[in-house]
Amino acid sequence: MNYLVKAIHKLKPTAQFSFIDDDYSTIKWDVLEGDAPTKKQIDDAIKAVKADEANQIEANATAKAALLERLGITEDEAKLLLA
Amino acid sequence: MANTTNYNWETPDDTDLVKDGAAAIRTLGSSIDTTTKALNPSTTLGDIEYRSATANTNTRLAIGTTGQVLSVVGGVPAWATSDDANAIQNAIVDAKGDIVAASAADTPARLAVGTDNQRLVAASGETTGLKYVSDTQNTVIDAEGDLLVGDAADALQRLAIGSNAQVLTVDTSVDGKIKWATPAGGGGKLLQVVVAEVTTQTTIASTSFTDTSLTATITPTLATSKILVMFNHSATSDRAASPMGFSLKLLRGATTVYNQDDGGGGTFYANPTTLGSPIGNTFNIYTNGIYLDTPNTTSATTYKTQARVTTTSNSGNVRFQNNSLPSTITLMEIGV
Repeated sequence: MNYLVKAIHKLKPTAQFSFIDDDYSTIKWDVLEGDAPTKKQIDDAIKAVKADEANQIEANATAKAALLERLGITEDEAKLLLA
Repeated sequence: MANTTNYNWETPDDTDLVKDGAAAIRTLGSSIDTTTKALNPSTTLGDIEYRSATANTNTRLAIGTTGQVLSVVGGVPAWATSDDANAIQNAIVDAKGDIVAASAADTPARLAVGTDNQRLVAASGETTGLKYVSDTQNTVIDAEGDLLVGDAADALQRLAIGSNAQVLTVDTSVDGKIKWATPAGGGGKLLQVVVAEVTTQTTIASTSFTDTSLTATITPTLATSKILVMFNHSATSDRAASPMGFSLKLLRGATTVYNQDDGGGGTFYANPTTLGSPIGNTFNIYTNGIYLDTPNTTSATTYKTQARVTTTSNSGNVRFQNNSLPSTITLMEIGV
């Protein structure tokens, strides 16, 4: 997952851009509404994206476990059904 | 009585009683006089002496005449007339650069200097067996790269250097029967190859075509050449949803010469029906392209690729040379 891309899109959802080697200073903006985000804003956004990602993974795991319990089957039995 | 060691002159003994001193002195004086005269027989200005066959007796050699040289005759010195007639005379040469060469056995002769840049060659028909001839090899050449070709028997002429990538060609219709010419048609002649490998990780999150960092420059040797462009791109497409994809195109300078863009969906496209991850999808690909271009130039020509993503929503992006996985571009100049 490209966290720099996701961080920028978190700050500027419609932005289009490119960059080299994950280097903030190389970002070339093709589409940008308003001012370009600062490096600190992007670094903070990257931390937020990673936290969102961790939360999403945890939420998905919790929902999966609840579903399995409600169905009364194990994870292996669920995989067998899907195979 | 006693005698001297070297000349055996008679002298009184140490113990002799000198009864007649005057007679003894006269005897010794006469002996000295005789010896001295034998050793110094010269009588005339310029006389010289040399040792005779008799001990303590020199022989006089009277001075010679003007121009004579000291020689040896019969084992003894003698004045002789010099044989200048058989020596090389100063008068044989007349000018700066003249040299002396033999015209026959024991016969020197003058060979006058040639003209500037001539060289000396053997010539049996000449008096001295030598002659100066024009140095064609030096004077016929005018510029770096010129060649000498035969013009006729024993004659050379200049063939001026050709232009880049020309080859020597036999043509019996031209003077010298050889010329520089551009290689004839037939095609398929590989003239040069340029290969570039790029590892610069380049991320594109844009629907506008953007440089991928893959580029190479070639300077064709002939304006008629074709350039065969081959590229092999490492790419990683990434999006937090499906579908995802990207398109590529090849440019010469700022001109698109080869387009793999389908107008929107993306030529390199994936639409997973099952998400592999709750947070996004990724596919890795090595994509390639081959294009035969006609740049019609001998100037340095740069080729590069550009790419765009199908969509930037859900952080759609494509990353070339991901983790420095190399991409390559090869440019081959093909003579036609």
